[in-house]
Amino acid sequence: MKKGQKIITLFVTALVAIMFIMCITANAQQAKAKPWPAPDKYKTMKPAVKLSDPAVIANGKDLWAKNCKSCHGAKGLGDGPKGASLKTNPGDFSSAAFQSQTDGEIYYKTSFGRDEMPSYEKKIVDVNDHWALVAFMRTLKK
Amino acid sequence: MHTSTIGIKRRLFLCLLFFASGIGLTFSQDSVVSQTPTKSLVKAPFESGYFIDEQTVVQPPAHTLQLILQHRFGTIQNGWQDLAGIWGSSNIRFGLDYTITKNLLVGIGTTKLKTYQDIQVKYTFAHQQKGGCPLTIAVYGDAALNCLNKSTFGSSFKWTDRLAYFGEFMFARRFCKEFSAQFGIGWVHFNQVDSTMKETHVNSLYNDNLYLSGIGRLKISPQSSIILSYSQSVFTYLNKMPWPNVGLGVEISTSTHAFQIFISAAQGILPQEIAMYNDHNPYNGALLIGFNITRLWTF
Repeated sequence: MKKGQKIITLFVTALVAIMFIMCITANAQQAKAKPWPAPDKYKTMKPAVKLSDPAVIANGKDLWAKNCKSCHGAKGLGDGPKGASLKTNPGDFSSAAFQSQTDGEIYYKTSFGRDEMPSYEKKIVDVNDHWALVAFMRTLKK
Repeated sequence: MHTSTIGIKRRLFLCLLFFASGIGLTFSQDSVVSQTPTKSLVKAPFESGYFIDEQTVVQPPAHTLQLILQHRFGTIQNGWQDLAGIWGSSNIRFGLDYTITKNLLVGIGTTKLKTYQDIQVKYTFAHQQKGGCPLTIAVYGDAALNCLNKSTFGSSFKWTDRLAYFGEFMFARRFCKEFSAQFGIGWVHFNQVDSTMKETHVNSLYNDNLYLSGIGRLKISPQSSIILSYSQSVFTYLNKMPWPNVGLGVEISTSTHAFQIFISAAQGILPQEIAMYNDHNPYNGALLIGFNITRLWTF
């Protein structure tokens, strides 16, 4: 192997190693989400659409793929490609803790966001689409 | 170079632009009030207001800043010699749009080709509804300033010679979740055109052209679509310019981005440039690779 090739190989190896360490460090430093209570009026809010309707769930699945999947992952496990770079772990939406929330609580958090979780109040303009996302998130239950 | 003597056409364009902005101002209050979503509203037929080389009826949500980057490489005709045009001469437009209300968008942009500086306005005055209006209808208008050296415009130069206008009515329908289509009819006017256009044109409207366009989108996944466009200037010249523009590509979108990569036949990016000066014959293989990227920030 020529000297130049050795240097390039060494450089690429070092770069990959640095990126690997950065990924591990980033994951290790991810904080657990702080408590996020929803206002009372949302806790008791009733869905505007039937959440068990297959058409609503299908719509929610499409919206999820476009708006949520990159951070929360295809199955809501918080393992999307952008999820690892967040300061706060996106959480596991299939868990009992997440699924024990009321529909209104999930609607509130999805629509208004906080910190790294963006608000979709203006990005998704149809209220029914917000509920469709709630309907899809209900299907993520283990 | 030849300067237009048909002032009526110029006024028509100005009227169209003022019409578009006027409607927006008149109904801006209504637009704010009507932000409450209605059950019967059909989802937007396209992911972005930009579609290969065309505009669409779609606008970002109200109070959204949109950054647009449009890039066109050289033609693919030289093959490996210039890596299918990627190393060839390119054209780039960088623009910023803002939606004042959910139906009214204004924007500015700068383009490499002929150093065009443009302003644009788009107003959507009808939305497709379930059991209601079958189409989404919008009007688009832009004015562009050619900032090349004034010697380009000949000896009798006036600053207004730099201006060119484009206006278009667009009618779109989302037929189903997978397929949407749009038809557009527009008018282009250049205050000054090359003198050769007067010599070779089939009629006296050498400063103007009627522009027809059609686009279609086939969604293949929630984020990906196959996109197709065709446009044709109606008043053709004896040398067959401007050639029609045809585009085929793929679009990938998220909530805040739309990315389109495609093959089309227009080096120009602004519609007036394509409608009046497209010298790429798609039937002769004069196609090029291009891409559009949009990024949204909602306030």
